[in-house]
Amino acid sequence: MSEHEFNQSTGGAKYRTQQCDRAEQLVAYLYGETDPEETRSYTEHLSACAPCRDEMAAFRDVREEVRVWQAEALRIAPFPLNLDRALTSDDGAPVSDSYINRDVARPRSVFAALREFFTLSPLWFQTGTVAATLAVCALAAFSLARTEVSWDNDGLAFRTGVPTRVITEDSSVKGIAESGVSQQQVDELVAKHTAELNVLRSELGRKEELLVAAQSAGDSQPERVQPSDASVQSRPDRRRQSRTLPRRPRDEQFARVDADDEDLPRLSDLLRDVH
Amino acid sequence: MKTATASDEQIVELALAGDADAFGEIVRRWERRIFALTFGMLGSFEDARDATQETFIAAYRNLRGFRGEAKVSSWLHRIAINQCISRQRRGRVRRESSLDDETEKGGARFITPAHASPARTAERGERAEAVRRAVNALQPELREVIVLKEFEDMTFQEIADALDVPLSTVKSRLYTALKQLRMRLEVHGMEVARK
Repeated sequence: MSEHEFNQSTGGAKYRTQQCDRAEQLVAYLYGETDPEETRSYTEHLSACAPCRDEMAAFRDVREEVRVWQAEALRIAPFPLNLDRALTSDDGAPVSDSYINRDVARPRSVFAALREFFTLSPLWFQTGTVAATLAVCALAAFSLARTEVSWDNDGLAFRTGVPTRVITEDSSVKGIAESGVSQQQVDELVAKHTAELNVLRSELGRKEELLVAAQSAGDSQPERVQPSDASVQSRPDRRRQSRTLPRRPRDEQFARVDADDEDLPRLSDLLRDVH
Repeated sequence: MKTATASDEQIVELALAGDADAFGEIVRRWERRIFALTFGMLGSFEDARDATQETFIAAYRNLRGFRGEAKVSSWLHRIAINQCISRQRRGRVRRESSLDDETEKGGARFITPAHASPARTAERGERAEAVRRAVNALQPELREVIVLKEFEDMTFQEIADALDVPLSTVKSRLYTALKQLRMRLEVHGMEVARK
């Protein structure tokens, strides 16, 4: 109950109309800590001041009630408190041995500081920290147990002991080490087929040149067109026909090159032959 | 030197000189009063016991910090008050809730002797509970002066030294504390009368 509520419920004016500004003298008189002159002076005042007299009587009642409560509390208090254990350090030695003979107080450990910080933290922080710690521990445990978590129509499923996936090599293609072929033989084969490939490329280049030459010759001596049905063709159509007919389409050229590459033996085939 | 007849200050000197048993005498001399102080401040037996232990441990660990300018009793009381305030600030002591818990767990602790009538027993227990609630409802600076005065029977000057406040502040706080206790106990009396 607040002070305001007190005043409302108890007629607070009763407690606030102390006419005399002698509170400290009242308290000193109440507890018998006045000198003879102060005692005489305040006794005279009490005989003439009813509010102070009432307050003095009320305060004496309060003191009596507090003393009764205190006596009862001390009567049932668990004495002695057996502080020996509390006054013993962690290693069992008396605190006196651990602390008194030290010139410098023992510094507080980081763990103790963290523990105090955690203790003083608000509840939401403590809860969050505990939850995060549990989550990290759970993830670590799942990782160690190789747990696979899946969610499908059957619901959430955990499976432990999942083996690690290993990418297996194609057994049809053996590596160099497994084929029994030496590195020198491989190098010779590569050099040989590189030379063949260069020959093919040079031949292809010559064919390209011939083709360009033929095309340029065709352009300089246009083919004579006999008057026939073809004469009904328009001039642009004829020009397009004369250009496109002798030329091989570019895509076709590349397709041929690719086909030539297809004709080349693969390294795996060569290795298989050698083996 | 026998510790039983030595003054508190002499015992502290013995402890500082390496006498492991010397501080035990300090504990034996002051544990009841320090417990009474912490109980008055905290209102819970368990909290009071813990605070009392912490007080003596803190005193032991800081023996070298005792300069001898004040009495050992004032020094111990100052440490105990700080322990109580620290516990309250840390929220370990929930003022009203701890009182409720104490009521539920240990309300019978304030039972008067067996020869008392049940009605009288209930009345005393209820009244003691009301006093405890009233004391614990005081602001800390008011509660500490009323506890030091009523529980420890310290003089105004000793309280001023222990709390490091002027003498007039001790008196004014004591007056305010008594006034508020009176109000709360009268309210309780009126509530009981209405039942």
